[in-house]
Amino acid sequence: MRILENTNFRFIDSRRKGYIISGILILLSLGSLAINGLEVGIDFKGGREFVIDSNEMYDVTAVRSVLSEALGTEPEVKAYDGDMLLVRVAGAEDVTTVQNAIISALEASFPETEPRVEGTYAVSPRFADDLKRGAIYSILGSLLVIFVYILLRFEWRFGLGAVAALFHDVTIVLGLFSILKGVLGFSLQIDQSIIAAFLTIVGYSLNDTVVVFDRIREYSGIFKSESYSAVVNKSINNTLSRTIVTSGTTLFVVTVLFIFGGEVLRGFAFALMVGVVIGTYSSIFVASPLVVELRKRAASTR
Amino acid sequence: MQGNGFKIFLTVFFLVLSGYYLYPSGQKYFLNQEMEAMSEDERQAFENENLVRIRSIDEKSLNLGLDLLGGMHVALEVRVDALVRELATDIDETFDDVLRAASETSNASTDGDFIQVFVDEFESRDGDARLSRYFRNEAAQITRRSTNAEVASYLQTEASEAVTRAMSIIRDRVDRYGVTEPSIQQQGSRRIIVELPGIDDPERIRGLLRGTARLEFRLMVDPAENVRSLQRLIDFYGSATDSSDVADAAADTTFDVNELLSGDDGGSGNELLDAMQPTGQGVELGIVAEEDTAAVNELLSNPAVQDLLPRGIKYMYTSAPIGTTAEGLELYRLLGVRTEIELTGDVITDARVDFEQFTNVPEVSMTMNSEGARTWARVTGANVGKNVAIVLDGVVYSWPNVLQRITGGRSNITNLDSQEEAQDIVTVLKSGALPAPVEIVEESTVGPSLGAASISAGLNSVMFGLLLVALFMIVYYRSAGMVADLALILNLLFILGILAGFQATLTLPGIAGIVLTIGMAVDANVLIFERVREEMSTGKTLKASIDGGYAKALSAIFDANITTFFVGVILYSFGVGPIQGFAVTLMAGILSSMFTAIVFSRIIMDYMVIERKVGVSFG
Repeated sequence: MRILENTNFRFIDSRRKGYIISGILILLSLGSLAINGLEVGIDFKGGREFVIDSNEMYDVTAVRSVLSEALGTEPEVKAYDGDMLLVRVAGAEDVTTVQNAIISALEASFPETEPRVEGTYAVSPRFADDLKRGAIYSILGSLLVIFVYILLRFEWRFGLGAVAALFHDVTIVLGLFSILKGVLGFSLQIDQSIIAAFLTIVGYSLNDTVVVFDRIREYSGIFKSESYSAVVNKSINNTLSRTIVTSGTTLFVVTVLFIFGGEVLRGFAFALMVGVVIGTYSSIFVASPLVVELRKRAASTR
Repeated sequence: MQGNGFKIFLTVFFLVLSGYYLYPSGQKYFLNQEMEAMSEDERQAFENENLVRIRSIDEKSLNLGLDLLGGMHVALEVRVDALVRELATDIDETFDDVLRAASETSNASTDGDFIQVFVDEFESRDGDARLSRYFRNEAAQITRRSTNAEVASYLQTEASEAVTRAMSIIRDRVDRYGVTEPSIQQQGSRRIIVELPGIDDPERIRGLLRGTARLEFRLMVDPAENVRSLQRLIDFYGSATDSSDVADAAADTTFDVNELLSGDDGGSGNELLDAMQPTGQGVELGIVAEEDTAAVNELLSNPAVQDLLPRGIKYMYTSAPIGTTAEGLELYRLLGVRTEIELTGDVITDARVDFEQFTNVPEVSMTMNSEGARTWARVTGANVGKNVAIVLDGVVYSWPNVLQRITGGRSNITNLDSQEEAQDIVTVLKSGALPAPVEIVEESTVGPSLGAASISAGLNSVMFGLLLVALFMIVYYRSAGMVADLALILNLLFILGILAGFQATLTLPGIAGIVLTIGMAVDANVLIFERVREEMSTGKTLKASIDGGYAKALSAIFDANITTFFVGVILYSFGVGPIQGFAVTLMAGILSSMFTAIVFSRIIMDYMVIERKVGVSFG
């Protein structure tokens, strides 16, 4: 079986279309990030989270109003893994106190149920600051290391192209998280696991980009008589079937994670699903065309 | 094939190594199955008989994270700022200002070195000022002439010792509580990570970990003085109110809860009376509802008020509420105690849970060492007819009236809620007081059923992911795809072997990392196979195509994987807990997938093409 073998798409010639699509996506993302913002998880702002199980299912809206009254603040209440409840409370009071308040309020308002706390997660605002800082460092660190590595193995234009593609990917996935905030049936909060997902997207997208770059590097030595953009185009075409196969298998497994991985991994898997698609797109339509663009500029100034 | 000798050796070597590291995990699995089948009694007997063996298997087998196993994870932070304040003498306003500023900056700059921030802050206010004036200590050779650097290094030592000591004390408490396989580790300069599998009472653990168990015996305020103080306080806060209030209250020996409730509406125009029901009986200043304690503390700490109150007296709440208001708010007594501490918990040599003879209410009885007993006898002898307060962690548990001189160094803590509370106080007293307060900065608890759900979610994902990718590879690449699938399975084995070998912990994100690796691991093979196809299309022989394919794909595989590996390294160094688990499996997956694709699948290809001459189809 073969997919997209010996193709000869004119990727480089039609790169403007790619720029327009990417431009629109990035503008939409930035717009939504500015207006809609992101939902930040308690990892990065502090708070308490309780998973509550009971013999009977709760009505989420009713629970929300009962708990708002009991706690004096508006908690976030969601269905969790089918028949459980997820309650998220901001602030920094003692976990035990809040937990007892929630349970006694539920018992009082829904006497027929037997609420039980299955899991808790609490982060103090100070610790959350540390986690946030760690996340920022790891993102910046990754980008820097990647840039330097590509610089050493290839040349600076490739490094710039790759890093631009990474910014492109992360911005669009973040934008999607912002646009879909509250629309989907699962949590799209930015927490540590989402940061891990972003870094994996970065790694994955780069993986794709580097394979194309590697081919460009090889072909530049072989097809010296052809124009640079023709070489790049040939490289993209000849790696296309590998790109699609690997993206396909990776997309398979992250979809499996999305379906079977449970509530904890849902946001993570979703980020990866989107990230794989965007990352594949960007290595073809953003990273390599940018290298051509940078080359052209160099040639014209020379 | 001869040329592949080293490759075969490597593969077999890694295979044996993985097998060696995974063997105990396999043993554990079968052992659990075996034990599951037994009855409760049989299992107990079996466990006792094979204790050593079970423990050694447990130790060597693959660690499961608390998110899979169920249990409690707590990150504690030792409050170095509180320690510094404790070490200091002659504390003045400047000192407190500097300390506060240092706490703020230090918090903003994460796990940074608090002592350094503190010293810098101090020096920035007055370059010539000497820290030694606060920290004179002969034992540590800190004199008036010590430089700030010397003081700083003394504080550093004290701080790092405090963290080490706190760790051993917490370990002791956890052991006394009885947790199987707890893990207690230091993280950074002042954090302690406690992992407790299978905990069913997180509330008790929280108290146990945080409990400073600062036990103090203090004398109390003189009753006549107490009434005068109350009068002055009320006058200060409510010159508008008529001052007969106090006299009334003091005379009113039966305290009426309803009176407090009616006073609660804030109509009196006296801030203090709004928050507190004044009584002025004996050592008691008044009665305060739970929610008003902060307000009362604030009112009492007003510097102008402090001048009105007798020197050497501070006010503390009682441990057990004396009743509740109609709204369910608990009411506590506010008692005047002397700031001077007569005896501390250091003199306690033994503590145990006891029951009051007639009521059978649990209490803690304590025995003091000889020095403590002597002091206790002297203090009680000199204060017959007066009250002494037994204070634990800043709360008064009991304040008995001394009937006679107490010799023999015995004392007890009463007014406890439950036997568990008594037990926990005993645990904390016996393990000793923490050198500095600790604070829970992060915690998570996972119930056993949530953990089990995560395990099955993880297993399902691995299984379906593997199945889907394996099928695809066979359909797409035919027999070469089968080789890739074999490599994939070997890959899975290696990853688990690496995890077991490095004693890493498998978490749910870690399993996600494995699933992701299954999808990405075939990439190296895909790169090679696509190259082989390209070579074949130029008309080369199968053998030449395989040679060319492997050779040409190498640089792409290497460059593509190493960057992702870097991302894994960074994720590991900045992430915490579960995220590190993800990073570890990601890195392990990259290494093993490169190995299986480049070395292992090549051996099989060569074997099939050169040795067996059966040929390989690349689809």
